[in-house]
Amino acid sequence: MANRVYEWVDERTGIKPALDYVMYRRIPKNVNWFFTLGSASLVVFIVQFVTGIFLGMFYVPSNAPVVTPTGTSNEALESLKYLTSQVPMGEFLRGMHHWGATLMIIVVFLHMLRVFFMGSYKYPREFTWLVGVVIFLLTLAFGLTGYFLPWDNKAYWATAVTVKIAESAPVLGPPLKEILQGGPTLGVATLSRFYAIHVLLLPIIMVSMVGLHLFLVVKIGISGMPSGKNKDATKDGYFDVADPKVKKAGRAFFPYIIFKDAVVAVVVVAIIVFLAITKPPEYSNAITLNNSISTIIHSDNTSTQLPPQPEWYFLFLFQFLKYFPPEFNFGFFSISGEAVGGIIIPTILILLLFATPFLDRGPKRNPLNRPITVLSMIAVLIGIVILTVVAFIDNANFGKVKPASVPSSSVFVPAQPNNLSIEAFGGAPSVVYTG
Amino acid sequence: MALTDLKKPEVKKPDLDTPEVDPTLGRRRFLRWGIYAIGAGVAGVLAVPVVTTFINPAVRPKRAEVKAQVGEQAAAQLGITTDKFQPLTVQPVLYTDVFKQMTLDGKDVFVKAKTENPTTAADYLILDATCTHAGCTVQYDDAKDQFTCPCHNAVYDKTGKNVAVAPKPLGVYNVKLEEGRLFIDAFQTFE
Repeated sequence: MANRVYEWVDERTGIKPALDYVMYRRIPKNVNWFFTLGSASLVVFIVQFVTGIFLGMFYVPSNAPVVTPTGTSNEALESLKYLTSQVPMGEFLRGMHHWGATLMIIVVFLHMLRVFFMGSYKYPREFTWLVGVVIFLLTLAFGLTGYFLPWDNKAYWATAVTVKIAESAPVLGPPLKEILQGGPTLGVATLSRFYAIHVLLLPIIMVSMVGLHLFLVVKIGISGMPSGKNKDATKDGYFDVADPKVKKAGRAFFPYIIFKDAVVAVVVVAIIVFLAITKPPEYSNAITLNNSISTIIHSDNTSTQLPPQPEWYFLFLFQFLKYFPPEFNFGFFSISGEAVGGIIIPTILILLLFATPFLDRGPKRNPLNRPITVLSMIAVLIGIVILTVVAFIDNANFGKVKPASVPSSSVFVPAQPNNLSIEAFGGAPSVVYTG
Repeated sequence: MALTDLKKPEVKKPDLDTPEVDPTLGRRRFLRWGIYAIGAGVAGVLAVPVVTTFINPAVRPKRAEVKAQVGEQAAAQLGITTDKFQPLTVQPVLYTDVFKQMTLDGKDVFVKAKTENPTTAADYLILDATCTHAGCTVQYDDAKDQFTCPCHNAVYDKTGKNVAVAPKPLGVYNVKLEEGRLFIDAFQTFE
């Protein structure tokens, strides 16, 4: 029956040759588990896409005040609390999206490292690499905008820090801040803006970029391990899937290669499910008009001071900023330390990432033959790991030290939430709920 | 026929990588079904929360049991008598359902006792103050012992029965008496 339907569709669309090309194309025999990270990223993206659509059916991007037994809250946070406390499987759905976001950043980053260290970005895959870097940046943008949507204290402070860094950019900073916020302060306009970017703009770009990336992967073929026939990125070494001569060198994508991908997909989804069940995301205090104290309420009802900090994958950057002086003064020209550490250096690193295939142009793919490229990346990675660990240690000590001593530099103290305009909150509570 | 004329029979080697291969071959078949099973499993894991939450509005209880207290004190202190209606305010209701835009904060009701010493919920008559004509709030006329609506002059008698303009009598609440306090059903509607 299924075959007859397929034939009927094929007769009218000619889909079979295209599908056969994709499914039975040759993949180098020496691909190993490292080569499953790309498809693992795709699986997590699909999880995010699907769970996100259904979260969107419950989420209300509004900061209209809502009265709860524990104080005034807002509709955005309460709509999520409604989903997670009242709707069966709601907490699981949100947990999957929350942990899926974390895993996506990890898996996409690992995939990028695999491509980097194996020199897979070399000829003829430079363009695939560029698209991949865009996908990596989009993943970070998803994380940044999505983190804001619960509209609680944690979201507020993380975004306040980000906006503050954006504001420090030379020349473009102040307008960039207003564009990000959708106005002079962080408020309901920011919420609408981040919501639209997160659910409309980013998904459209992401789907196009992932589509292009996959098209290129299928069209050009997998690079394989940098050994044997594939060790050099030359016209001879490059694995042409369309060339019948290479038929014996490779295996069919389906079912041999995709089976490994499927096994990794199971592992990745299992991790997301496990975390969603055992560690459902917590909420911190709602952002309300007079809420100027940043505290997080834990499930055991003990509240602690909440350090103003971004999500963990941006922590290294946040920590990095702490080592910069408030200002670099060159006499004729001065620039804030925040701009150097938060904007200029990260921008240079991102540009270097884009430029990698054009800077490292030799045909050698083996990491041992590319010491400068590989050691530079290792140095950056070590820096990121150390900064992240230090930030975590700092934050663990946050409640134990005098709040006045953290953060040390005034440039890292974001605007207080009570800077939010009264107009943004739209007057007196009109709807009453319990939390 | 010479022996050399005998050709070695051609044995076609099975090519494991081509799609036309016999589907009964073990490894290939195992992988194929393994992939299908894994695909179905992952889809299932996604489908369970997605479908459960998606259909929830249709399967959850239509109306939550939410009580709203009438007046601030116990029923005995509210001054409810058998001869005149007592205008009272319903206490704010706190309700979790964000998708049910419901508030009973400051809603007006009229309460009267049906017997001299009311002891059970059935001994109280609680009328909704919403005019059944256009939804304005009716007022109780002490002297005439009747309700009038300021909007279009609708009139209801002392039992809440519509006398003029209004198409239906005033809504009668289902009353609950718990620990001496009067409650109404917060989501009771009068269709």
